[in-house]
Amino acid sequence: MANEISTFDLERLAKTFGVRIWFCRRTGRRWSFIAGAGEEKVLPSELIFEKDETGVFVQGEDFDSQRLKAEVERLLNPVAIA
Amino acid sequence: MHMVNDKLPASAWVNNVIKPEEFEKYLVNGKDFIDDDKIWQQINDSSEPDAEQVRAILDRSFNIKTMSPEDLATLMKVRDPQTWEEMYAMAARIKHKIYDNRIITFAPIYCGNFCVNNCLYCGFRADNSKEKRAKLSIQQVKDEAEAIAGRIGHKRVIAVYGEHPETDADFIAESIKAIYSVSVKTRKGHSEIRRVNINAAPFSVADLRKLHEVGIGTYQVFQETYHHETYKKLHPANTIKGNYPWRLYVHHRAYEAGIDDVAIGCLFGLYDWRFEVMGLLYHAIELESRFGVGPHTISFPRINPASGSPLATDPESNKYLVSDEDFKKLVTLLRLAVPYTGMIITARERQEIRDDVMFVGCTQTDASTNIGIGGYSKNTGKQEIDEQQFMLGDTRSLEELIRDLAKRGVITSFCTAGYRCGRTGDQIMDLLKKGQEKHFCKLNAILTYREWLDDFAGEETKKLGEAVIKKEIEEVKKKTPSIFSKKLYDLTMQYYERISNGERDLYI
Repeated sequence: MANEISTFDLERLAKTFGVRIWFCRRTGRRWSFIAGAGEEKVLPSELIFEKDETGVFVQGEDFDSQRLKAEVERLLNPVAIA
Repeated sequence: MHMVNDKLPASAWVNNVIKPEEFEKYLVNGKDFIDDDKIWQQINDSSEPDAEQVRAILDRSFNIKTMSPEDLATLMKVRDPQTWEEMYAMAARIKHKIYDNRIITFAPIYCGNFCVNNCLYCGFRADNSKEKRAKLSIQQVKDEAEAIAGRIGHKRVIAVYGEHPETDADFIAESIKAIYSVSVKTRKGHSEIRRVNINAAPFSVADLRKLHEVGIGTYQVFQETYHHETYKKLHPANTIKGNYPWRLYVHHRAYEAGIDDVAIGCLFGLYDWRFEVMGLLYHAIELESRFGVGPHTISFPRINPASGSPLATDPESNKYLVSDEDFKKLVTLLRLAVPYTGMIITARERQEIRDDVMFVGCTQTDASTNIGIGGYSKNTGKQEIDEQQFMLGDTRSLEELIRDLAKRGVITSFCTAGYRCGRTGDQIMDLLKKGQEKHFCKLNAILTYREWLDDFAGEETKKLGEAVIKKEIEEVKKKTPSIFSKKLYDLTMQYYERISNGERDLYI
């Protein structure tokens, strides 16, 4: 499994889905910010992908959540999806 | 010889702690970023500003720009009481702009008072034979966490450790895990410590990784004094702490180890307070320029009675003791100089000072504080001079503090949301600098206040608290949808309802 998403991909996803998206690593209860893209929004943070110590959070309204999740899955788990 | 379990004897351990290569790479031409002569020159060369100059500087602060050292030195020259009133008011406005109407609370847990150092002002110093030495076992750490989370209701702690092989990075990591493992049933739900910050010795990158891996909140290390000569005088050269740059660059090492919330501070009363405030600003600027992330918090404890330390109590032998008036000024200057940072005022200070200074920009404070080793479990309600690092000035319980804050319309927050969803490091710096974090602060304060009122408040406190929570919810409603989207408002109210029904730890 790939364990990170490139800044290029984060920016592409942020633009395509109109969201703020950021990639994190978990240590204990802490999710530490690694990289992100898209404009900051005062919206709930939704954990859309979680596996082992990797997590992806999104803030956005009216975006296609299922499609975005699938895209993130594909980037973080390319072999399994292929 | 003091042997430590199966580890090296303390005297041998000391020789293996400092790794010069881990700070030398940051020195520029062999020098660190605190230039004593330059700082004094900046302080001495500035002249008293007129009101217009002051307002121009305050405007820049209000736009959440880190102040230049020259501007800070200029503000230090203000003498007009009316201008100081403007500065106090601006500091309070800036705090509100960034963190809203909330004060975060926490409790310190003293896990051990063994120390290999000999700092002249500290009750824990190795040569202080009057100090009773103790270290909590992991079970005792859990007992403390249970008392704090289950009886008092705190959700954050700062765990404090002396510099000693008994409380090395492995022990600290185990104790952090122990604290996080505790969950206590409460009146209506359950309570646990959700964020463990630590105040400990400066570690190597390898040791800091161990702390990072168990999910510490903030890593707090104070330089004590930024003035090189004073530092040398107070910290004997044959001790670990005698190495100024090893301590100064510990936050750099923390970033290297992946810890992105670091806290700085100094002990006021060791040297001229104006120099120390400049030192803290230079430290913040250094961290921002190297890592893009400034200090998560700044602390400004004043020296006070410590066992066997004349430096703390005798104005004849210590001309640097900070008066109450100057203390309020220095806190104000720090808020204006590093506007985005969290600022911590502790129960070291007397109640009347805390009540006054808290409102020139502080964001966090402690309550129901016990700084004895194992003090929360013992619950004697007494301070023990021979077991404590210093004496507390304000012994109010958390409930009393919450009530006093509620009477002033302030909401007490138990929020730990930020680092649970990646609002850390440069992400949170961005939010703070854009003034957006306060919106999350407001909502999470409401949710966590609800939890605490339902689980721990007495009748009178609950009544006062309900009024505060009603006012806060009204404000959110008024700002929906201009600031808070309908989706966010609805989610918050849904969480609020669920918490009222006994669910816990829901956050935005």
